[in-house]
Amino acid sequence: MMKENSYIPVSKVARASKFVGTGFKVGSNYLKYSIKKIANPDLDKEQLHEDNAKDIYESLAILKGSALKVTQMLSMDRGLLPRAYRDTFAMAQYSAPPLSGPLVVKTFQSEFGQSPSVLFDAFDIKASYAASIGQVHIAQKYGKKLAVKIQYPGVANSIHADLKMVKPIALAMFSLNEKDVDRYMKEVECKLIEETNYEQEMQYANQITNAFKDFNGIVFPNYYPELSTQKILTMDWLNGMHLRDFLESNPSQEIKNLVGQRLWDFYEYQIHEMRMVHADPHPGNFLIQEDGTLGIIDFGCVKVIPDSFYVPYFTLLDTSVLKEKEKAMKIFEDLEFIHPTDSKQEKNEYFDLFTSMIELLARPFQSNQFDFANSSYMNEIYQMAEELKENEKIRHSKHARGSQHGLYINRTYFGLYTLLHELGSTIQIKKELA
Amino acid sequence: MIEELTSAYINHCREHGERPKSLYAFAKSLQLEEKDLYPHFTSFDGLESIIWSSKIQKTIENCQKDPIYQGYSVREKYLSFVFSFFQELLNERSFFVQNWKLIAKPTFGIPEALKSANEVYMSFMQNLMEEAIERQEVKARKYIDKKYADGLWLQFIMIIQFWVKDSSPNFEKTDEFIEKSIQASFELLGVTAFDSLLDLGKFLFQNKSVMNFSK
Repeated sequence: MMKENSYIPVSKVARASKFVGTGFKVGSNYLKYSIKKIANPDLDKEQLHEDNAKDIYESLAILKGSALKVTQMLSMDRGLLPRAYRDTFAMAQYSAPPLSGPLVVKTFQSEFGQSPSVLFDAFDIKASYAASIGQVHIAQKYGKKLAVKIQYPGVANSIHADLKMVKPIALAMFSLNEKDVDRYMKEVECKLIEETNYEQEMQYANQITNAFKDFNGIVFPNYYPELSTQKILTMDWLNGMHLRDFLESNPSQEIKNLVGQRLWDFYEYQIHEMRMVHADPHPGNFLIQEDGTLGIIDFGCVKVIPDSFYVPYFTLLDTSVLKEKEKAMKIFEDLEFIHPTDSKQEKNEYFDLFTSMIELLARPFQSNQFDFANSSYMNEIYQMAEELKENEKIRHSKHARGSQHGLYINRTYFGLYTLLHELGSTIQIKKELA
Repeated sequence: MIEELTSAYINHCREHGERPKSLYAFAKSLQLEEKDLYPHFTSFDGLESIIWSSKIQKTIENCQKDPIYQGYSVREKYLSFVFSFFQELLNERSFFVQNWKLIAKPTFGIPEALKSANEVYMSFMQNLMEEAIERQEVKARKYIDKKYADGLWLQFIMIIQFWVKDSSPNFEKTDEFIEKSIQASFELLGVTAFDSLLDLGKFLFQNKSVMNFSK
């Protein structure tokens, strides 16, 4: 466990100056790089990115709350980030400095009028891990081991201010264009505010848990409404390893395929049957047991998919549609890839660009079986993301491209592909669902 | 007896938004003689001072009763004390807000009404600070370390001031303020960059002959 947060900058000024400090450090990292580069021309940029990522992470970890959440999301959009950033930000998914014990007790007292030691048979006052806008403690009651998630006080209020401060960093560090960042931030803000309501989360969790009760090998925690409020959420403690630890335990290919298949089915069923999706496929939300049982936690970020988006988007999965240019063009317009005011030439250019993108992303759906372990496919995706980032046309486009629903769905697929790649699973694609 | 008197007084102030007109009127409302009050207090100022100090006393006792408290570090003990203090005031918040406006001073001095509260606080803090130095949670610094508790008292007053004006739901902002400001204070009281700089300065001074490049 990390050392408890020694301090959290108090005022907005203090928080802002934290970022200024980071900017300064990042600047000096570049300087260091330039000097080293003179001495050693073979030095590659990875070291520089690594230094930068570390400094940025350190300052974001102190700010906690939504700033941390944004880094998590950015780390999921892996294609946006150089590799070194990704690894450092991935750390944010596992640990952040916790709140003090007395504040935890205080939160219980104001939510339940009782101290946690009275409410539970046992309660560990030290947080076990951080959950972006809260932290998780281990407790005992009903003869069971429970996980109790406690929200940082004031998170809901600070979301807006925090995101505003992250924006310049996102602009500069990830070379995104301002319009994209705005739209991204707005959608993220909405979802974040929703995430601060744990009662809502419990409702989503129950809905999804119910839908999957007949699925083998996928388990969810039980939630305890009598021990939960808007700011405190109590659920079963799920056993299992995080992806990284699971892989280190050298599981057989068979088990890896099994886990991957369950993950795949979990997403396919939600998207197509429930039209809502656990839109947070970062590794911290999945717990894997040795026999391949997949535990799923954290339903804070659930995206409901509207039909107006679902229909055109999933028509594209059958890439034969792309061959009929008229029809495909119409779909692109529905999805806001192409804007009605684009010139004919622009339309054609974008058409080609998005066609090649979709052909790439929909490739797993074109066969009965797909091997996600294949690095060349993932590298093609990263490369495409890299090219999109460098693409002057898109960066300077008057319109952000792609509807905001797409943000979450794309990220969900992207996250899922990444997980499956890391797992090294081969997936049966058109398997009939239960 | 004193408990009944204080709660009657608090209720009067909360209902009427002001002090009773006189000690006589207050005694009469309780069907007492004026002289019955004098063994306990001789003015409303005196009574208010008792109310504040007894709240602090009670908070300390409650904290020390809690089994978790004993396992805390000093920083956590102090945090726990401050959080519990405001929890303690919560039920009669409107009285304390009203009273604070009467007694708070714009200067840094200790308001008359908080003199005895300050004494209770200080004797509690004396022990806490000794424990902190012993456990090396804060750094012993000649002359200054005697003043740590005074500094924390000033911060405590600032937190009350913040709480009085706080309008966030459940006074959530006060919680944040407490957590952040006390963490920061203890950070400053621990070994800081300043200590290392001072130490470096001392070293360089003592070894200045080595550092002299001109020779």
